Amino acid sequence: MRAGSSTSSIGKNVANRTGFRVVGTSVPRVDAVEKVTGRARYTGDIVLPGMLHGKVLRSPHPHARIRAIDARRAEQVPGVVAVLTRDDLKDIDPYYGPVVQDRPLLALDRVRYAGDPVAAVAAESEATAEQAASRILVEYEELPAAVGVAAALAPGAPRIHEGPHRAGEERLSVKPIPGTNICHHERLVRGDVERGFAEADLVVEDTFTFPMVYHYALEPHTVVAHWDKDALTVWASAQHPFLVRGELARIFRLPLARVRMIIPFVGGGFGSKSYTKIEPLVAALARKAGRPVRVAQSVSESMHTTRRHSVTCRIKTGVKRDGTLVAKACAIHLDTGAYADNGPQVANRAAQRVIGPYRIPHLQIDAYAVYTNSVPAGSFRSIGAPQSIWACESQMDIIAERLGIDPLALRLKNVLKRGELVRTGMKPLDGDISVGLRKTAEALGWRRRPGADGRGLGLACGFMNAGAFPVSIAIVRLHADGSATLLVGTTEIGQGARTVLSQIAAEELALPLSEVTVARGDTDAMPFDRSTGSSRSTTLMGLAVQRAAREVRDQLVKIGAKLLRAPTRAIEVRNGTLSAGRRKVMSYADVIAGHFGLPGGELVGRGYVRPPGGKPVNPVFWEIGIGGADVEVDRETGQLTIRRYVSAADVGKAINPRECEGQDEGAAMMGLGHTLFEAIRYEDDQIVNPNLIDYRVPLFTDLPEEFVALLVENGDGPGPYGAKGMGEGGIVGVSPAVANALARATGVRVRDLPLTPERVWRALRQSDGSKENHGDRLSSD
Amino acid sequence: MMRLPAFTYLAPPTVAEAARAVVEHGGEAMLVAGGTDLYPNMKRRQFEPKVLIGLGAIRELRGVSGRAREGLRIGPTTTLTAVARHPEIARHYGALATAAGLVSSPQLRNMGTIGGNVCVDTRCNYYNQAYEWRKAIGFCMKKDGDICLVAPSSSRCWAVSSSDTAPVLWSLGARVRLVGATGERTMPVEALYRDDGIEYLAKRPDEVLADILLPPADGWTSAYLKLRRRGSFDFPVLGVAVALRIEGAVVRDAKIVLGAVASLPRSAPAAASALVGERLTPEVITRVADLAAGPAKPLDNTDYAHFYRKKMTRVFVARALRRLGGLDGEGRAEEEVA
Ligand SMILES: Cc1cc2nc3c(=O)[nH]c(=O)nc-3n(C[C@H](O)[C@H](O)[C@H](O)COP(=O)(O)OP(=O)(O)OC[C@H]3O[C@@H](n4cnc5c(N)ncnc54)[C@H](O)[C@@H]3O)c2cc1C
Ligand code: SF4
Repeated sequence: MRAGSSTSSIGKNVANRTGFRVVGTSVPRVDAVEKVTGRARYTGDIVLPGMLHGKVLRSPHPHARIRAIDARRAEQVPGVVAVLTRDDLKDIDPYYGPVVQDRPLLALDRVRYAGDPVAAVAAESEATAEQAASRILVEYEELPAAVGVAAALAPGAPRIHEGPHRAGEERLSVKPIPGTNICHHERLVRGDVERGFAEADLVVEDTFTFPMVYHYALEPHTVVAHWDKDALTVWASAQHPFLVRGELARIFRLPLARVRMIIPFVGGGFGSKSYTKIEPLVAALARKAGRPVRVAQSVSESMHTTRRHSVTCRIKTGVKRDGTLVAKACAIHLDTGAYADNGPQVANRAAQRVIGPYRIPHLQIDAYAVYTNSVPAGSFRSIGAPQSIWACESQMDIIAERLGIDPLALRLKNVLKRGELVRTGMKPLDGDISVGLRKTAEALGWRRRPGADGRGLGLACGFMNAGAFPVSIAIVRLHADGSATLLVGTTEIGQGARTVLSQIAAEELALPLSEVTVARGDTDAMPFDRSTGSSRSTTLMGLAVQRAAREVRDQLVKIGAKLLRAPTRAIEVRNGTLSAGRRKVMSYADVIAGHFGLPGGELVGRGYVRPPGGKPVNPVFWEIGIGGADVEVDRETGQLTIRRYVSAADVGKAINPRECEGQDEGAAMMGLGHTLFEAIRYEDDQIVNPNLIDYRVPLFTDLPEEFVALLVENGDGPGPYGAKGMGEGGIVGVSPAVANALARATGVRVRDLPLTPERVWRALRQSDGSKENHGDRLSSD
Repeated sequence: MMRLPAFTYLAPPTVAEAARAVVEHGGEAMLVAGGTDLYPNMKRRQFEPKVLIGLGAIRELRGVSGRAREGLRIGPTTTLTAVARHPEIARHYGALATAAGLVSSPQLRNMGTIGGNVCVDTRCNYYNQAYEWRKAIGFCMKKDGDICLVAPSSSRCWAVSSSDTAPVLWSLGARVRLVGATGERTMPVEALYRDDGIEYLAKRPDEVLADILLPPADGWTSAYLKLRRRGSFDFPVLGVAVALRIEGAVVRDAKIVLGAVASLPRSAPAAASALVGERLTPEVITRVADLAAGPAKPLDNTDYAHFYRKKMTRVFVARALRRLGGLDGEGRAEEEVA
């Protein structure tokens, strides 16, 4: 960041830091050189002999019945090998979806959004495929469309899915509301909310909105599929290769062992590559073509593939005069788009996360995932959290203002304490939020009052049940020369997983980092890992790697003790050698050779992480994200400038502090996107800004002048060395922190995002009571 | 459609040959300099030339010559980066260096030329879209269709002039020399523009912009402010160019030109003449800023609603004047101001 950034560690170290060699140090990324020199290979770099290029034809209509598809004109284009239409899907199960299997890999009878795949062409070149795709004739019968939640819930709204659909692998009990477009209704109740409101001295009610946003991973979705008789190999930019494998096996009726997912480097995910996206379509196209097919989407195509849920959140909170929260009722509507994807789970999380890390005796939360005729929404960095925490934390400041209480004090008064029960059946709070809040406020210079200089300070915090389903398996191979390879199914999506997992293995095996390699992702070789997301890999896969490495080390020590004729407890493991006193020293290579009786062989260790008794602890850990913003407001233009942003993350133990800081910076920058700039806009049922010129992600010039990343390290996480995951928490506090700062600087409260200059300026003008007349539309967002 | 269609590329060594080549290929040919505007437009099928005549090989079109005392000559294929960094331009025609330096991003400024910037296509939310998108929505009259989607009852196109340097060049009194197949002419830069989103240039296709001529700089100071959503990359949704000749704190001569408010840059002569003979006091600035906002007639076809853009015209004109009058006491780091 322009004026420099800093990291500092606070809290006590349970583990003795000097006991670590590589864990806890900011070693450079193990793949840094590969990436900056351009040698790192991504899916798009894969070239197979005979490989064709695929292009998808998408629906121009938001909702229509497909009367007929005539592909003959496309098939005649020289260079075209295959055109895939719904007629080619009869012998497979074309439906997929993680929660509800409601999405066919190509539209069957109907298209449900402008951009829905209708057909696909495989040709010798991408240009040919593209040209041929445009020659496919599709006869549509347009149907009334419902773009946006309001339209989809209006009386007489068109039904987007007739349902019922099969449940997907996520095993969430989906509760649709029959006869409506609501694909899932999540309800959380505690106490008696009406009684709570009756007991409150003040009841505040607000409605907040959060825009549709796109992940913008630098690499759009890319897949190469190759069939060899009845075996399918897929190279994909996928975050959850094992889940994709499962879907492909089911769709094409193959045993898991005959579906192989290879995951080269992935150019960013952020949830856009969670679960299954275009893999089934590309596999079906390759099957028809009888040759390998590559589909590399453009940004615009990926913007028509997945996005984050836009949300309207009505939130009503009852509070005592002294600031004690007593009741909260929320109605959250999430626009889940044409297919459910992960929508029901996002609704589930939004319902939990809107409560905030506060003690509230009476609750009634309703969250609805609503089908609409727009791009399907799915996972996105901390699902459901930025939307609901935007509402919750903005309203906390509204309450503070109404009661004349300092916003920090109001939070500290209500915040859950470590060990306190969050909800029945869930893990008690395993972190200390108040410490993080205080430190963040301190780093902002909280005591400074909003002055005449148009500056204000804002705070926000959130806590998320993180970790997803806790199943991860790792294998560590110690080779004959004493170097080691990790086999892990974690996808390196730029988050630094390979580095951190290498550090853990190096630490446990007492090897230099350069002796540890993480093998490329390949489901034929790697043991199962549930997913990469939900800030889970360092905690869960980290634990699996630690266990696997320890198993290898135990074997080494046992064998070494025999060879050195010393008791195992006398064996010291250090720097690639075993020793028992000064005279008895053996390298790992010697130990392995001694064991196998020849220079060869290897030791293999396995690490399993699974929920005890098969019942998952919910959550694996609580991820805490705290944000603080020092914002300057240009009253004449409405422009906001972030002078300083403070992000605090409770990481338990930072295995690589710089990577942690990078995660927090990245998450906060991403949060600045939906806070200040980003919104997918629909007009005439089409996205009007499906490109990077009109869809505005923040740029270097838009970063805060100063960024402070605070890492709370109490060694209290369930991961290795007391670590817990991070990487998502940094995004949740940005919008409310900035809006709260704006309110404290100007007295103006904005409840809609993004906080564009125009929107802020209008709000300022309105509050100035200016009566100037204008017949223009409300906003360009 | 995000792929360039096939075309023939010619690289004539002289301006005269370039102009002749355009005529030879009739309506099929177009000129191209850096291509940062034209190539993306071709990918979207907004232009479908069969022949491109590249200007990059023509030596006489390159480079900056002369001194500020007599006036400068800028070759149109000079890159925006070179213009922004040129010491003589930065010192004496500050607004031009600022405007060139605020165009898009460093990569595009390294490729994009000032001539291309002067001739850059007009923009509209309904036009700057992929072919498939425009097809789905229904084509508009700027390309492939016959109605305007912003103003459906209109018989003309309202696409917006989005050049950063054009309003500045106008405010600085720049002239341009055009060389065509049948002769050449020199005229004020403002005469190059027409109030039409489609036929936005008053020049024949074969006419090559051969010189950009700046008058002597003596006594002039200038500023350019740009409104856009982010700190870089974005096209202007409002540009304010102000040039003043100040003698002993009194304004002797003034030009105010607005960019991105219409299909061509718009000057604000009433506001400018209200400055002449005045000192830059807060009262004068307020009055002039109000007058300057008059000619801004933005439509809702770019980022931000037109109402806001119009209001910002006043704010930006006042800021430019304050800056030039040395009244910006707080010393805010105002990146947009020269
Ligand atoms: C992402 C992005 C952001 C951008 N942001 C901005 C911005 O902020 N501000 C801005 O002003 N522009 C912007 N542009 C547009 C463009 O990059 C610049 O205007 C640039 O200066 C164009 O110059 P060029 O040499 O690349 O033009 P070209 O693309 O080569 O040509 C543009 C037009 O000018 C004509 N032309 C070029 N040279 C001559 C000549 N000597 N004689 C006659 N006709 C000629 C061409 O025929 C063509 O019609 C942006 C473009 C992109 C892609
Ligand atoms: S102003 Fe009208 S005609 Fe011109 S580009 Fe926009 S929609 Fe098309």
